[in-house]
Amino acid sequence: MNSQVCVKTALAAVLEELAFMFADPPPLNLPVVIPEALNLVSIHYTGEHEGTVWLLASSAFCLALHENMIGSSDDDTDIENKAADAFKELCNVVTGQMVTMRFGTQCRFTLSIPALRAATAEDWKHIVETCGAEPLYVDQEHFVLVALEEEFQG
Amino acid sequence: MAFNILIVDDSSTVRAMIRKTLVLSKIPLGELFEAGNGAEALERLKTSWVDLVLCDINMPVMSGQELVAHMREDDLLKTIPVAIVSTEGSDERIDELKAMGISAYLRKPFKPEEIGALVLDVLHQEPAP
Repeated sequence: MNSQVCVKTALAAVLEELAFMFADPPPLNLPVVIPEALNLVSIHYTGEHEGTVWLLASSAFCLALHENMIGSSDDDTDIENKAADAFKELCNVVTGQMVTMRFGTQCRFTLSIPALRAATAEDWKHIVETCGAEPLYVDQEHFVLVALEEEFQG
Repeated sequence: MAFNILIVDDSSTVRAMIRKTLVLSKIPLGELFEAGNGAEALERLKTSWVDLVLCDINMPVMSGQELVAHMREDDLLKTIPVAIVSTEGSDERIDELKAMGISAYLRKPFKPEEIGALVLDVLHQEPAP
């Protein structure tokens, strides 16, 4: 399976299982709009193979993800940090699923702690260009970009 | 009998998900403690009686595997059951953890009912009617 297809498949499966959110390719007649207030999270994996999983999405997506994962509560203080934490956990689970899908359960990997930062449209375009990534359209509302950058050894 | 459970994960979202699942289950609960890594978990275990530890592997400061190793070297802690809840998929690492005496392993992403079933199984409890 192509690396970008693999990581997109992992993202769609994890979103459905973890947050009951549904990811599909954007409709052909819908232009991709790069979200504002972007967050970027990445995890580097090392072992028999090495690479990085990148995940970019809007703050609105992170809030929706958090709410779907644990529901709203009376204690919605610090909600932006909680949403960011949910986004990091999504990347963690996607990376774990992706390495198993791509390399099997015989390989052993170490995953870095997720690194999160604010991102720009330039980051989005750069990852699209360097990885050949294409966004997914989640719940017919959010464009989410996921990419796998593999490092070839030897 | 009510059970005290320690949830160890660096993600506050995962801790909240597990807490909510346990509260909504019919498992007789005492106190639910939380820790963000293995070192915080050890501190909690020194001061509070815990019947079960639910633990992630990949965490900063001290990993879940290191926490299990520390617990197994401590006469007071080595009999506390530990269930791993992690995204880890490597057969080798899971076998290592089983050899260290973990009671159960659940891979993320998990369904809420899987957490409830795991806790009931490890604590040897029947589901409530």
